[in-house]
Amino acid sequence: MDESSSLNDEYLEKARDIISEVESGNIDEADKLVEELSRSRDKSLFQELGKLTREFHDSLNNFKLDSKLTELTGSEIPDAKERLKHVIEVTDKAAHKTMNVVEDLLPLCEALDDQGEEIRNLWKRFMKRDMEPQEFRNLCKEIETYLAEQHQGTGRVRKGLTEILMAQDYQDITGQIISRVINLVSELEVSLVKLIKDSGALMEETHSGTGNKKEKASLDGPQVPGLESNSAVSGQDEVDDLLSSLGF
Amino acid sequence: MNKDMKILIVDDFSTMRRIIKNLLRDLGFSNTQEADDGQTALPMLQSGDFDFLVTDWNMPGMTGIDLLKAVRADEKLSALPVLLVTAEQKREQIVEAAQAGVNGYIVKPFTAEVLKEKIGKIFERVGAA
Repeated sequence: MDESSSLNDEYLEKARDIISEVESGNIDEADKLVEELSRSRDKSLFQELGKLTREFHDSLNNFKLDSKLTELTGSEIPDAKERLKHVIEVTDKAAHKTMNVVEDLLPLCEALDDQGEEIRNLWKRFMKRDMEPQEFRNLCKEIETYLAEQHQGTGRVRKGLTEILMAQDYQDITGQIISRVINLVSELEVSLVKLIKDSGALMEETHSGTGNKKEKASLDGPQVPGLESNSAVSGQDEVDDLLSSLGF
Repeated sequence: MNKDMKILIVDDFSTMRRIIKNLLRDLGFSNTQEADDGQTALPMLQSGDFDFLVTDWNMPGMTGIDLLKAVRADEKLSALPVLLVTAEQKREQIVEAAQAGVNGYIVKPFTAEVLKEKIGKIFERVGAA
């Protein structure tokens, strides 16, 4: 406080000198004094800045030494990224595996259905006694073939369904991985809150007016139960309603 | 609506492209091609005589909405029917897409019926135009 009171005296003296020089018409002298005045103001500003910087630097060093944060940024966060990438890979694989089985079995089902339909039609005719003996013999052969193929086909379908069932095993793994990342995020949250609180004292002179500069509505991604946004619609019907209310 | 029409499917997730491709095939449309981003899709559209574009919104290089705007701004492509299939369902997004000239908007998760209905509607209107 001694520093600043001597600064105030200096200002006062200089200010008085400036006034007297101006009143005497010595504008050049006055200019020189104004320059000296602003220089000493700058000096005190630099001193304050130096003090702040030192304090900030010290705090930062303290944070670096905070092992939790170091751990988080050094290894756990990179780990978490890898883990989440892995989740994407695993779910991608499972999805494609499942779709492979589906793409394999759908044509099989269609073929069996078509064959079955053919036989159904022939059988109808037979039941109406609208069939020659030779046709009937052919029908018998067709039925025999069909039954064999159907047996084989259902075997394939059962196998495929089991494959699809097993392909869901990813969920257990991804569930665990994601839970771990959730824990990590919580830890991160705690550390950041601490960081903000600790630096709060220094950062009193925060920028005013940056306010809530949320840019043009950022993308939300899929709506998650419990996190629904107020400005989101829910479901295709509401989308359709919104569009038709706008005339589309 | 011609079952042979050439369709471009754009989504950065291969699983979604595959699902849509299969659903389209079930509806009788087998003439499909794929792109994994708006950026790769645009040149394909410009040189490819596609009849229909199905695209996601959220993609890293060029988003679906920007792809739509680029298509509408391109003389050759401006009349191309575009269907957005996306997880984005905020009102501002839907309105933005409509104002940018999208022909249909489907939110994920969606069903095969919805896809069929929207495609039908789009080509009904295009036919009437």
